[in-house]
Amino acid sequence: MSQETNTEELTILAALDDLERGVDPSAAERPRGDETAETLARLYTEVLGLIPSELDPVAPGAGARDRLLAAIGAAPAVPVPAVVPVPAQAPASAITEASRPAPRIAPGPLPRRHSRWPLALAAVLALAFAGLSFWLWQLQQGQSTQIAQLRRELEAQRQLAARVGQDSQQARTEMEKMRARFALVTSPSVQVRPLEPVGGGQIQARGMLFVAADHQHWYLSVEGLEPPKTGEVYKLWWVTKDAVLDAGSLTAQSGEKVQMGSDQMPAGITDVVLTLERNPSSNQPDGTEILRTRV
Amino acid sequence: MPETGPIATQNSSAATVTDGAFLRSVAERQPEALTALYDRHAPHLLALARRILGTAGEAEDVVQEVFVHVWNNSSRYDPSRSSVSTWLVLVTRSRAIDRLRHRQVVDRSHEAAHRDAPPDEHASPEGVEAVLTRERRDRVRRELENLPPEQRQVLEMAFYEGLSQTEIAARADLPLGTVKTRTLLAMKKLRSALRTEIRQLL
Repeated sequence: MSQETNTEELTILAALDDLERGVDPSAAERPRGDETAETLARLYTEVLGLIPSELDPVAPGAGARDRLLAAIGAAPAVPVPAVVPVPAQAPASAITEASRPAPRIAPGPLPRRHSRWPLALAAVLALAFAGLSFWLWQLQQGQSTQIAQLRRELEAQRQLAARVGQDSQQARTEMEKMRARFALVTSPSVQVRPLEPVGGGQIQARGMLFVAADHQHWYLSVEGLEPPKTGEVYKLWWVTKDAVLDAGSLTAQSGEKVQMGSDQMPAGITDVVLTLERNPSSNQPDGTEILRTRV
Repeated sequence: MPETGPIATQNSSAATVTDGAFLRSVAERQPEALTALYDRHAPHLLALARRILGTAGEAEDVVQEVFVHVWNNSSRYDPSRSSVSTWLVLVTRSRAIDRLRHRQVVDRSHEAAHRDAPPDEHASPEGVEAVLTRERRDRVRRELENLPPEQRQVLEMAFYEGLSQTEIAARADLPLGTVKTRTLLAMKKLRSALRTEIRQLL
């Protein structure tokens, strides 16, 4: 077998293989062989294309063209006379015969079968899409609600954390104060002065004043004071040789221990007095003297 | 199959337009070009689809699909690989065979009945068919009939029934080599006998 025959037969078999697989031989993207193979492939493709020429043509059904136009999305065209195909090199007699007016192709009496499944499928897909869209919308709404709720919860947690933080800070401050007071009270050089009731008034009241060696840091603890009446307030006074100075106010609940302290104390104090004042803003002890101690 | 070369009628300028020119217009989204191709080729493609499927309704559906495919894929057509008419034939055949393969039963007697049906059942448009198209049909038919029956048989089984060489061998109870040899001989003879028609398509 010659190379040429071999190539030809391989080309035929390849064409038949494409035929069997339904491969489009005219597709531009198909791989190409050498020139001889391509030429033979073209020849045998045309042979295959000629085979059904043996069949008698069949007229399309009425409306087939319009259905085609509808299928490609174009409006049905105005009917035009049918094309009469005549080859250019046809003999004169054939041209004469072909030049007679070409009547339209008569509509065939054959029953047509409309394929309805695409419409049904499109309707089902449209319904499915609508349903899916609604479900997704619902899902989104649910998520938005969740997100809003989580935001609120997060804000509440932040606020709680802030409060806890504040409380922590407050607790740390208090602890620091207590540490300082403890250190003051337990210092070996601290001066301790008891405050005693005065004038037969609140005889159950007692107080203890702790003064550090620097005479600046001090701590006062008082208990047994009666709750003041509305508008009244307990006030502490520093008494010096020349003046009486306001040391601050105390808030007393019934029987509760009251504590006060500071890191400042005027010099030259001779006495410390606790009074019950009717005017909280008074800058002199006008009220009843409750407790006193000499310093 | 209608000619792809220059054509002439007395009225329509469309008749002078080649298939290639129509296809280029289709690629430019001109629906009238598609319908012109349809008018020119649909009768023969319908005949092919009916030959394969045996029913007019399915044949119409297939041909409709083919032209929609042409509308959507005209840019993929390579004129160096085949003529437009051959492209249409092979696409039609492929679609029809796909449908056939989905069927459970092929009524071969039904196909034969359609093939030999009286003209009114075919609705054969004698009035519009060109002389040379008829001549081509007669020549191709004659050359096919001139093939030895065993060669024609394997060719028709491959073309109209979509059978592979192996399937043909199994159905005809023949060795695969014999089937291949007969197919090769048939194709070579047709190439030689239909040289004129092939030249017109190139």
